[in-house]
Amino acid sequence: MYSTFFGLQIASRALSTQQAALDVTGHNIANANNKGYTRQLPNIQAANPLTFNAAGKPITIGAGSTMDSIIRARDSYVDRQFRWETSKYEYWAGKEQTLNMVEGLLNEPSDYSLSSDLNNFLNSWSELAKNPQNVGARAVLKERALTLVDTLHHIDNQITDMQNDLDANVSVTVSQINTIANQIKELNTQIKRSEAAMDNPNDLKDQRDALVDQLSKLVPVRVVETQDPGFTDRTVGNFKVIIGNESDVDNVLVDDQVVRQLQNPAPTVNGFSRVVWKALDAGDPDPDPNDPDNWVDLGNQMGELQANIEIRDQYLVNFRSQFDTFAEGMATAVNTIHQTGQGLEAEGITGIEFFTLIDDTQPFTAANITVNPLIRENLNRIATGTIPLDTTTDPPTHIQDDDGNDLLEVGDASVALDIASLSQGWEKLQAYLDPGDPMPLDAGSLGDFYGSVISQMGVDIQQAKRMAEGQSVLVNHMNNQRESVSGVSLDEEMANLVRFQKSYSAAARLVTMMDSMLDSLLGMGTTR
Amino acid sequence: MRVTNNMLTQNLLKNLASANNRMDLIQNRLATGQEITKPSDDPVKIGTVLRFKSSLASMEQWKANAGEASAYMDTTEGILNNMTSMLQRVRELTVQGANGSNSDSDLVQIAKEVDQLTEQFQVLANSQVGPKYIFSGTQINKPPIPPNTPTVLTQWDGNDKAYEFEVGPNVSISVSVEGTRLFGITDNGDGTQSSSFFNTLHKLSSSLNNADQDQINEALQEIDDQIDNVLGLRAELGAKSNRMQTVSDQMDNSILSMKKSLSDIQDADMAETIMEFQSVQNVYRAALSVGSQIIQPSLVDFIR
Repeated sequence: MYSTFFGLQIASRALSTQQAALDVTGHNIANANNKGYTRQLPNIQAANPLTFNAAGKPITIGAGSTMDSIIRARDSYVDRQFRWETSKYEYWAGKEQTLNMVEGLLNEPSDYSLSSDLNNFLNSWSELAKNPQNVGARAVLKERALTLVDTLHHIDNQITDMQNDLDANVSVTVSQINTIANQIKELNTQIKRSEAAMDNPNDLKDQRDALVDQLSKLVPVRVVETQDPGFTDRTVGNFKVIIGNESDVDNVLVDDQVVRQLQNPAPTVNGFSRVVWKALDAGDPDPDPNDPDNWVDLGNQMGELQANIEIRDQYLVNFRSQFDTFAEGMATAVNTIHQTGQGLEAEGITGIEFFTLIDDTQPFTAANITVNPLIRENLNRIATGTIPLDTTTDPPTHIQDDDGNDLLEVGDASVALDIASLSQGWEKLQAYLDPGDPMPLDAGSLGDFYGSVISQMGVDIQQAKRMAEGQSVLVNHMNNQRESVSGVSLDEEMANLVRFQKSYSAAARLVTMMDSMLDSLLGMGTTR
Repeated sequence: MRVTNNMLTQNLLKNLASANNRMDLIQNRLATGQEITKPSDDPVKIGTVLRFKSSLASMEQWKANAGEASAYMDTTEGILNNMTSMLQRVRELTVQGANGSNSDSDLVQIAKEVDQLTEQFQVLANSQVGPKYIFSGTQINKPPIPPNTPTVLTQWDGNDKAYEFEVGPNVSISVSVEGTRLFGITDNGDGTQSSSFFNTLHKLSSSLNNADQDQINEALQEIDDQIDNVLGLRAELGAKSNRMQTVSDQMDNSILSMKKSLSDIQDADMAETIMEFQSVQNVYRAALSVGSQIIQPSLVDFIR
């Protein structure tokens, strides 16, 4: 026979089980709007039944319920998809953001842009050609040339600034990754301890998942969860986080309670921060950041970090070189013609360059170009006409005028006109070049070359924009999937609340009933 | 699929944000009147926009050049007109002098008037448009006839090169009348120049002073030649002036059609954009109104 108070025990278990279930529901409701929270489910099971012998055979009687565990409603497959799409989204969104800044910097098409500066510059040659001896027209030309050069300098500076900003981002990201890695390691320790004690550390796991989500914005990330072989009778997980290219065996950021850090502060090579692992064992020397093979393989078009590095190292470098090419082509074209001429002051056999280098040891670039200081000091040296040469002598000599001075032909504007014609193409320039010489730029004209740079930039931005838009739809979709599994539905929780409350009331009623039953039993022994 | 309250809120916010984005884009188009305000709006068209803008800037410049060239030629034409009437007067005087009924003192008087006109011709030869001497070829900063030159010209400080204006893609038109042709300048090869025009006038003046009838008759013939020369140059100038006018008109048309093409590519279709704005606005309003109804109630509101 079993205990008289068995029924009370069932009632008491029921009370505490339903109360725990109500608490879980309360916890869910309290965290309904908490990002990264996973809804928890009370896993109520029937308690171990009681078996006794009656009438010569065993009879098993139910012993009520117990709260076996509280589980998280989580789908690790959806998590993986979500993080994968997030990495892709952040890559394109990061790219789009920087490219938008590049677009804003160039300010095309507007009246305050390189293209209009170039048009103004070439047109002022045409204007000067009408009045070669007009100092006003010369001053306007000089100012427009300076504006054009300033714009090129400005673009070059801005590209450098952007690269520096991106570089600062890269080194901040590296230390962020290290911090997250350490936090994940700490959580791994706590979770393991808790799991080893057969507890369910749901909220700690939520925190860890949130950290991995955060990591997936910076770099592609993959989580591998396995059973800890040290435990065979209970579920204890090993949590491994791989970043970057997952096929690279070196790219394990956290393996259970071992964390591998990136070199922080990020080592700089050629002025730019690099992402390099630290040595795995504390005693070993760190991998050499100067060897590109040691740079962490960040995978293919994933994560904000990679977007920043790619734009800093490739896109902007390439972009700058196009402006360098443009500056060099423009300087070559204008100088080739300008050198054959003279202005209001006689030149020697050859004239002077219009654009000169700031640093003589370097070639023409967007940063290394300026208006010849001789011209800035003396506007009369802006060449407008050809130098009248007597070619019968060897070497040719400057033709003299009646007063014995070098002859000036102020009304000859052929040089100015030929420079102005650069807006149309190379037709006039060809006369100044040797046959077979290449044109200064691989395009129909200066403006065409610049136009193709702008078009290419537009295509790149559009691609980044479209990819980011597409990815954001996917991220949103995955987020909905995840929310569908893990999110708290208030309706559901309210329904549960009622359900568990009713159960609780019924269990309480059971206690009352048992009480009156025991009353009856105990009343049997009293004398009236 | 299980739908939670958070999903409803998040999706609503996302829809509102995307409607807002659309409205911002359309708002920009409406405010600027342009469909392409940045290269990424249409990378293909932006190349065309830049090329058209550059062509437009050049055309505006050529048009301004053509206008100035016309003004320059008008002034030149005025001077040639003056010269023609002055030459007519010289001819009248010559005819008068060739008439045998003049006394010697009459002829001297006529010679004096011819000398006066000669001096005036020298002034006209140094005519300027602004600071430019129009008959000195490309040496526009120097008066072709140096000061204190006697009526017989010995020095001409100009050349026979054309003074050109750019009025089209690699098209330059000479706007000047060459002083060397107008005044029949020849280089004597010894650093001096002589002018058939002024030689004729000098010959006329001296033959009048000397009452040499044969010489006067000869001079009359030469003056007719000079008048023909000036008229010929005037005709040439008129033709160039006409051409410049044509160029200017053409440029006007080209600018107009270029602007139209640019507008076709770059400008927003207002009616369409406004319609689009209306429709996006409707979507936005609908999202807001549905949102306000969806988010608020949950089971919480019904359990007491």
